Amino acid sequence: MIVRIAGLPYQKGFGGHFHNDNSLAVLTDIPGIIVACPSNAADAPAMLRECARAAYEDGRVVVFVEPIALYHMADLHEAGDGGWLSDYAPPDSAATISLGQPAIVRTGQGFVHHHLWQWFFSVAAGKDGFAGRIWH
Amino acid sequence: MDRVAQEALGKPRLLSAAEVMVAIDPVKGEKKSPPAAGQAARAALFAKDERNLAKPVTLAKAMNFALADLMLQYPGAALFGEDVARKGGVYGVTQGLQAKFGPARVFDTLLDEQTILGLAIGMAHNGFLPIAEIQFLAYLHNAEDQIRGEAATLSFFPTANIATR
Repeated sequence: MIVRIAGLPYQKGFGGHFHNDNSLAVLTDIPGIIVACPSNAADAPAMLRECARAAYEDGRVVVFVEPIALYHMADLHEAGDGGWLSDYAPPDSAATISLGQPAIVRTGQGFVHHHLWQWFFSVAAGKDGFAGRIWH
Repeated sequence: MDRVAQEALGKPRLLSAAEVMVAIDPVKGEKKSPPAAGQAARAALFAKDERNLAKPVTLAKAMNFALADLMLQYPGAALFGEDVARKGGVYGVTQGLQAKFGPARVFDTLLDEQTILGLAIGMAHNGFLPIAEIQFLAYLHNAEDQIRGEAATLSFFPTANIATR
């Protein structure tokens, strides 16, 4: 089974603790489940397909956390640059991601694996083409 | 009571660590996923999305397309949760999916997270591929034991063969 959850903080002035919640910790000590959290349009479809495969074929329980703050994010460095958009890769594309496969952000500096930090990091670094993601 | 106790005492027991642990590791490769849908089926499914498919999209739109493709590929997949069907989700992620797959496979639920996850667990036990939505991460706390105490750990009962799928 797959449980999709829209989550993590996203805006000021609305919702309070009912809508803004960063508690990935509640999921990370549950035995045996897969927690996945994509940060961008290139990763999300491939991660979701891998989760569906694991749920269907291997009987895994998957929690797929989707970062609300990045749902409609289009730009990376400046308004209109479209740097956080990606082409949608159809199911038969070669763009697959296997369970636990990390995103290499920049060689020599390890991984940035929190999607929001990933986005901020990308802006700060002045580079595009990053693909942070969380697997647990 | 004594009779039932005597009967229970006579049941076979797990004798080794291996027997206890056999059910903890998920069953791997028991079923094979259906192949991804062909060009014609996908073209029909996305007939109204041609313009968006041809240009770079947001995370929300990519999820929408990916969910549609999954529903097409897995006939046993169903998508449900609060406001996912008629409204298409708070953020539009599931927009148009009910129109594509009908109300039997894409439907709104009560505003009750325990019901949503309970339904998912039951469907999974019966061979479907439930794709349930919890509207906000904060709402998961209303029902997290459905994941912790039931979905994730039912398969820990040795030889019970009731893993959630």
